[in-house]
Amino acid sequence: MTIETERWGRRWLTVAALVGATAGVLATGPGCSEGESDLFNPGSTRGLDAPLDTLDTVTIGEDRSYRSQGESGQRSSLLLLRQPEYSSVAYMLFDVDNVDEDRVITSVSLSVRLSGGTGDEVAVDAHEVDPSIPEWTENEIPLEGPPLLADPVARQTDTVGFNPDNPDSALVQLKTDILSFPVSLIERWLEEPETNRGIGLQLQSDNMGSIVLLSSEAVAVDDDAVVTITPELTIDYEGEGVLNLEPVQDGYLIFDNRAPEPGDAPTLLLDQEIASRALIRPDLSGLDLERGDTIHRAELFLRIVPGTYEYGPDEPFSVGVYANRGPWTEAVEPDTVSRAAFATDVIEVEEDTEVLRLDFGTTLQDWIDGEEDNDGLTLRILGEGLQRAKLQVYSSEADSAAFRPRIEVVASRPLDPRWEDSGQ
Amino acid sequence: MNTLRIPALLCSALALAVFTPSAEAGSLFASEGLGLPRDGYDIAARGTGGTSIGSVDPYQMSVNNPAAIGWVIRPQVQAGLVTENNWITTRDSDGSTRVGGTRLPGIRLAIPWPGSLRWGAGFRDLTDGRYTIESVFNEGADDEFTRTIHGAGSIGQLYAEFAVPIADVVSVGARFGWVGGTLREQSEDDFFDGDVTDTETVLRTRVENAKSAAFGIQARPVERVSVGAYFGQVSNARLKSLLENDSGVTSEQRRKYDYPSTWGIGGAFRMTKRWEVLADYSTTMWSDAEVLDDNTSTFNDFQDGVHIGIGVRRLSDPAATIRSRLSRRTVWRLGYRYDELGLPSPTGDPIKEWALTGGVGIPVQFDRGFVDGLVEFGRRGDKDEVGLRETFFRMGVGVTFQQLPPAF
Repeated sequence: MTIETERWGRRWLTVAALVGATAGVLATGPGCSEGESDLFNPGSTRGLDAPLDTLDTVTIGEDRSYRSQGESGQRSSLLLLRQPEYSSVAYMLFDVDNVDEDRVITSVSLSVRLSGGTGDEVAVDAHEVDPSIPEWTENEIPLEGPPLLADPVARQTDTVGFNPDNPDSALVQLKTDILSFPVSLIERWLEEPETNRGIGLQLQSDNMGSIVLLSSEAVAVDDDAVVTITPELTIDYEGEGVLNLEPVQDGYLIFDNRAPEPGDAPTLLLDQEIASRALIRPDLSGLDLERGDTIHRAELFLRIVPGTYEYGPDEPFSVGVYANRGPWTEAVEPDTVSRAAFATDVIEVEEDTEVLRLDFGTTLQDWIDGEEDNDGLTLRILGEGLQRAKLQVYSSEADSAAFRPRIEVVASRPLDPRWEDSGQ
Repeated sequence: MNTLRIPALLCSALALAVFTPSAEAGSLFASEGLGLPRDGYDIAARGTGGTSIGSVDPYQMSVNNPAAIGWVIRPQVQAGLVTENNWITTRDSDGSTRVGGTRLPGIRLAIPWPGSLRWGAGFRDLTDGRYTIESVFNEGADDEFTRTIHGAGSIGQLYAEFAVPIADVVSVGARFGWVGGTLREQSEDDFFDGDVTDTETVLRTRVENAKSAAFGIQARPVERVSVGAYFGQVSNARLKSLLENDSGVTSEQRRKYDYPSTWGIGGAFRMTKRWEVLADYSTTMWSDAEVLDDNTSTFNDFQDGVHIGIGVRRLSDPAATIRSRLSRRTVWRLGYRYDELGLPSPTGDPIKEWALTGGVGIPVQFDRGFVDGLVEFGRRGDKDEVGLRETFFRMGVGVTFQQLPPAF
């Protein structure tokens, strides 16, 4: 019995040893390791080893400058300006549903925060928007402008700008109760809500200059706390009680009587104060790309015209490139061009900057994939209306080809279906 | 007597599959066609050069001749694990690159029930799509980048079959199955310039909606001689190519594919009571396969796949008893095989593969199956003509076992 047991033990020990050794080789041997080959099959019909020409250049199909006549209500500023040939109107609409109709209103006034200014006196008129027009929203302000009633409902002259005693005053300055409105206006809006189409602010006709009001979209951070810096309409009740209303809609329009910017100008103007932007449409006809191809980078090179940079010597400003969402042509200066809300790239520009390099790879990817139409790009200086940065870049009509804009694209084609011969 | 039941056998095989390490590198030929073709031989049959079509053996679990399970005595399961090292050389390369990978190429179950009827079911690889290539493009230029392509997946066959032995002399069988699978190729472009966006695309090639049928026969006209033959056909398959890039864009192309048929013959001759020679010949008519709606496709240019295998094995001593030494019951195998791979070839000549094979079968208990070991050494491709040569060393371990009596 003992001999039999030992024999079986040896057999199973032998089996276990063989199985264990084989499993050990499988588990720890080089065959289990992941490996990569840096060699291709030279006879492959799939062309996996074909040279990949990923770098390409694109020319500009159309480009022009345009002065924006208006902007959606998503902006954080409202521009008030007046020059002999152009002026602007800032529109605000207040919802008065929360005003207590049973209480007596004693006064109505508007408080705003201002940005910039030179310390000069500024005279502002407030007009009621024609109560008979249809409702408007800040995202769809008609470019001809909601008409204002002729007689102002409020007017004010004040000093705006830098206060030597308060260095920060040049940046943001609170102006309380700058405009006092007749109580009867609010009472009528309460009684006849359909007549509430808001108010329009503009500089008085003899007041040349510009100021910037922070809009209802503006926010500021003070000691890590977000503080409200929007305009406020303050309603005082008889006795105690105050109601502050923020605009539910606000935006501004520029009415420009100057001659249109020519489409074939050799330069493109970027202006921060009175928004002038550049429209650029790449000509993709020479780009051998199709849906499914991958854009790794698409870089737009724009050469700055020497001597056109205007801004503080030690301060950079930001230029952004946006995908357009609406049509335009080089021949006709548009009033406005719809664009994406967010820039695909933002760069800082300094006095010694010679070339702007902006990446719009994600936008080109959308065009190649058919997700968006090629309506071109908008270049603009960020913070329009807030400061006075300005520069010009050469356009595709520049005399010297070396100065014209150019685009470099790095793109690659994906693998073709396995059944296709893509060898080159 | 208590016995281990079928669920226990399945669980064991499943555990083997689950714990198999997954490596993703294989033959560069896997990037061609629908992947590197894989035969259906089990680990034991590979040891004799890939021979089983005419082998009458109750433990034989190769997936080619469906008549073979007609000889199964008890419910049994087979699974194998194969690991391969490749040394890859091209006509332009100075040295070679070594890659490797491990895979469970199939699993199979056979059940004799009721009476003389035998049923079987399982899964097997028809092709293997694993490969990895990494290479640098545009060296020194602004757009220099590394492209890495990882191939994975396989085309497989899920099948059910039956066979009937007749008078202990003949077995006839049929197998019906579904052919399908996905070959996944992930391409990563990694640019040297950090400002350039790296991207990744995934190409999936799917074979769908193909049904297969195979019919086979084995016969043992005299005690020492056995022969067999089979024929298999696959219905038209739907090919799909699905591309997805980094921005989420997907595109799809479809083709209809006339899948090839296959047939094979084989035989075995027992020279002495312990020595047996075996031979197989089979072909898959890839040259007849075509993409029905695309006459420019490279899939129309496949070469016929051919397999020729010869082998010899030293069987268990038929006089051995349960008390005999293990060596008397161990099976030893030796073989040679020659294959022409059904892949597109730049020269129009088939891509060839040969291998020397060897193996051992260690009995499980006395008569309840085998633990099989395999070694193969061979080459595929040709450095001068095809431009690509792979020298491979393959090891495998498989188990074929039946119900195990615990009282053993």
